[in-house]
Amino acid sequence: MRIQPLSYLTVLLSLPLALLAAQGVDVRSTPYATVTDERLQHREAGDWLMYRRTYDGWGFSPLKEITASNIHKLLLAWSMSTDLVGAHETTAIVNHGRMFITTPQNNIIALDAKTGAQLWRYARKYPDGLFQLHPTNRGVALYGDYVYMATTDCALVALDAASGKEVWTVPIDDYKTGCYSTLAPLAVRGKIILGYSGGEVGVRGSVSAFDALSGKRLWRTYTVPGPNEPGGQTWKGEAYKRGGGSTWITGVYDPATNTTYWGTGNPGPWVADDRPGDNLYTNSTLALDADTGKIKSYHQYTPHDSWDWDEVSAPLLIDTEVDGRLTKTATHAGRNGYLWVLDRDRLQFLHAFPFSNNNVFTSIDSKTGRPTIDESKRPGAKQGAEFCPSIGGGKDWPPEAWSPQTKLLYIPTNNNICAFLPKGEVPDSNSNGLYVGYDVDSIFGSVRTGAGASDHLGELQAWDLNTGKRVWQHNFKTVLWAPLLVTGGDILFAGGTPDRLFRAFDARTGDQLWSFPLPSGAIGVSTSFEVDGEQYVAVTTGWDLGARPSKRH
Amino acid sequence: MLQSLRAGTLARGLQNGIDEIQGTKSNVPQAGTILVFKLQ
Repeated sequence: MRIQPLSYLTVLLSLPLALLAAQGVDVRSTPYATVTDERLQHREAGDWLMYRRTYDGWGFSPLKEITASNIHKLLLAWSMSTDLVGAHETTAIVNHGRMFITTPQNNIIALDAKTGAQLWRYARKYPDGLFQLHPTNRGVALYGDYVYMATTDCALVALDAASGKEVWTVPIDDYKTGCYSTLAPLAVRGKIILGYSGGEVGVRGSVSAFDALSGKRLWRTYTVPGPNEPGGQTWKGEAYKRGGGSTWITGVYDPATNTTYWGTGNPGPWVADDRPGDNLYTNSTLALDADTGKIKSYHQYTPHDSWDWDEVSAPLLIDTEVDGRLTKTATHAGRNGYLWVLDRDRLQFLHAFPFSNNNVFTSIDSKTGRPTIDESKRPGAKQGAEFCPSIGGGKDWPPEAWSPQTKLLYIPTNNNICAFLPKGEVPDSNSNGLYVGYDVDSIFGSVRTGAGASDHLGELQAWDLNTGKRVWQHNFKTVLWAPLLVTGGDILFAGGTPDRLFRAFDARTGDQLWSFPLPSGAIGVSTSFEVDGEQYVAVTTGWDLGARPSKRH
Repeated sequence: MLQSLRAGTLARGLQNGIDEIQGTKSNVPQAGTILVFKLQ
């Protein structure tokens, strides 16, 4: 299925909807606004139709009603409990006044974005015996008249967006392999594209595309190649079969080249002794043909990883000056603590700027971007090792943001945090459960503080990509786990601290302008939208519980 | 074993590790809520 600009009478529907919205009509009395390719590519300012609002992954809303001069008047419009606890990492997706959020335990809630009135709620029951390592979800995709959710039992669900009725469900893979999915799917030209988690339980990662109307799988591209495929020589024997490279954060898309870019996770197991080689395409950005899934190019940030430095966040597609020259970049703040700037045509390396302390890389090749490793900092079967950044990285999954107005890239950073992993063991390749090589206590007890930790840990950073310089930085005593939102009013919003504050900063200077105490810590992806001519900002709370068996809702 | 794993790389686990080192304690409620703001 591909929704053309004029199909579904889009134009005829959209104009009256806009008029109705302007008059304050209850969203329940209006027909659902079909999501077309045209609307996804040329989105209206008041909508937030996908994970980072736009295909380029910026996390930028052009709405500009809220500014530094009036933000002291920003107050709660409405709130609602999800009736669940745990890690709420969802994105409030808004289509012409209808909001969709997801929660842990495979729930979708549709709401009136202006009033908070619930329109419908969907819950997909877990199969018996399902274990979720990370019981969370990061949001839906919208396409046509359907809403799509990837589930923790590794399925893709399509619902009728107006009613919440299930249309179809298809497996992404067998959840019994350890596969589970937490990301917001990506809707591109009649396809729903997504991946899954499971790098710690020995899955072989992949990206798949499903037909948006029927749910039929159109293509599947493994992120870890087999022996006879390009890159297959970077794996020993059958290690690739449980090689990780999971894809658990939404990709981005460049309509000009019909290319979708995905980040890949760590290789498995963490103890690397029995998988010599670069272990392609783990810890990489992959450029895929959106129609076929064919790999066009790649860049690997940390070859032969031993530090759990997933690079699952897709790069931001930013056209901007680099070294004074207009450049089409793929820009990625890495878990390994470097800000990577690539030419996105062939993912050629341009720059790597350290933004968080890394004591493992002794140098980075100026032509290829390949790091040289201090092997004394590599934990494995022969030695334990202390290293920085920690297994949580300089930046984990919480997304960066880019403002085309300030021309600054904002990075939610953790610094001064390191880790120690003891001597581990290569796990049996047929073992069930955790496929890492360290026991749970070693992983959970790995955190160490580095120099500077007594001063601060979290850093909200703003970078100028042209000069490669940090323009400003705001420090936090605690960790910072903050998905970022930047707006046309030059306001940068960030939660992600255990003090439960949701903060707003001047995007140009870094000055804190506003804060609001939330019921819980906010690690959800905040968004901004407009209803009846007024700008709103949404954020979900629900601090992380970590992994545990969950009750069905 | 899996069921006792608290994901140490996630926000709560990371802060818990820091708390253990620094002798601090972060009490963060768990409730899931959506909050929406606008100018008043």
